[in-house]
Amino acid sequence: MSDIRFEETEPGSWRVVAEDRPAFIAAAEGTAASVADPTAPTVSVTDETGIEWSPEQVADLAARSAVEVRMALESAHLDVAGLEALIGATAALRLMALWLLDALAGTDAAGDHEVMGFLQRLAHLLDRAYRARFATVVATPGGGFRLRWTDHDREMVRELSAELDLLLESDDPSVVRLFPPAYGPDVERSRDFDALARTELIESRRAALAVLADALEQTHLDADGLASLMRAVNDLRLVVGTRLDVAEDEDPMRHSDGPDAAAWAAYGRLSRLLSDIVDALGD
Amino acid sequence: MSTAATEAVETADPEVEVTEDLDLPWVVIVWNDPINLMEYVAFVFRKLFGYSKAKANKLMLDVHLKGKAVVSSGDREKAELDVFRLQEHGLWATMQQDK
Repeated sequence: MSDIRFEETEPGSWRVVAEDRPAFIAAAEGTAASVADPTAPTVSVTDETGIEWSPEQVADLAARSAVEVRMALESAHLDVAGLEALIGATAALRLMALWLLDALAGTDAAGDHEVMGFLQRLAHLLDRAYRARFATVVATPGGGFRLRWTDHDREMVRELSAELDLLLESDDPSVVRLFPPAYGPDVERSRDFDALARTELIESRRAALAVLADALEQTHLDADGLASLMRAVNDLRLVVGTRLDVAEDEDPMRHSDGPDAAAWAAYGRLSRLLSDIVDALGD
Repeated sequence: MSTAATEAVETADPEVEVTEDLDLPWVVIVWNDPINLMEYVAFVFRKLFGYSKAKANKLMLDVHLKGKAVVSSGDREKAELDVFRLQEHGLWATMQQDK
């Protein structure tokens, strides 16, 4: 699939880099056209705030969103307002493509892969634009990475790092996960491996935590630094996740008002941060 | 690169060595866990082993869907080093002799 990137050439200004802009514009306009198509199932919805949208209103919003996507993607540069307008319009169209597929399900047109293709493009466009605007870590065009911490990030990471540092040499259940038995059921060999490797694994983790602590005060980082930071963030995430006894594909939002709400919020934030780091290092 | 993991081979009990088949390669296995992010696991495979995106994704999906995947193999020393590096990245990695 053709790619699209938003390169931040200077703070608050993004260059649109795309091999195939028309494909993304076509996905936006195609979705709007499908929503407005009188022969297609009508899309009317009630949003989270309880407001009911008529099919005409949905079609109207789709059309306006498609215009915004075209305008943004035909620009050479986007400022904050321009990028956020693109994010809003793309998010709206993506939702409509989802509703449309829902409405099509079970009908003769269910094999309508056109909207499926639009949906994939819109989801990709939204991901690229959203990360460019909001990711904590982004690759810079000149090499290296820019960091954008919030005070809340710093506080959360410092607190968890201090805890992990204290626990690293303990048998606390939340850190046992960091040192699996290397030979599985072969207890004796696992113990031999552990006797030699444990100290070095702990040192390596401490070094990564130190890079993370230092990076909290920085706005830029090189690739080696970011690779260490990634390991530290993953360790914090593993420890929090182990304590919460996280299940496969769990959504942290489900726990937003339970007794462990703060830990779940930290877990969700660390997940997003790790995803941003992997995305930034990925190419 | 020198690591504690490589020393383990040199200091291993000679009697244990006698009982194992030296011709059998060691395989390194990564096990599924509910916490590690899929995209992170695939990235670690690319970073540590130089695998293509396609191969790393395939191995990651094997881990996720089948519960485990063999991600590398070789002599015992190499396997211990790979286990060390994977554990350093927070993955649940073990090694065993291929049978």
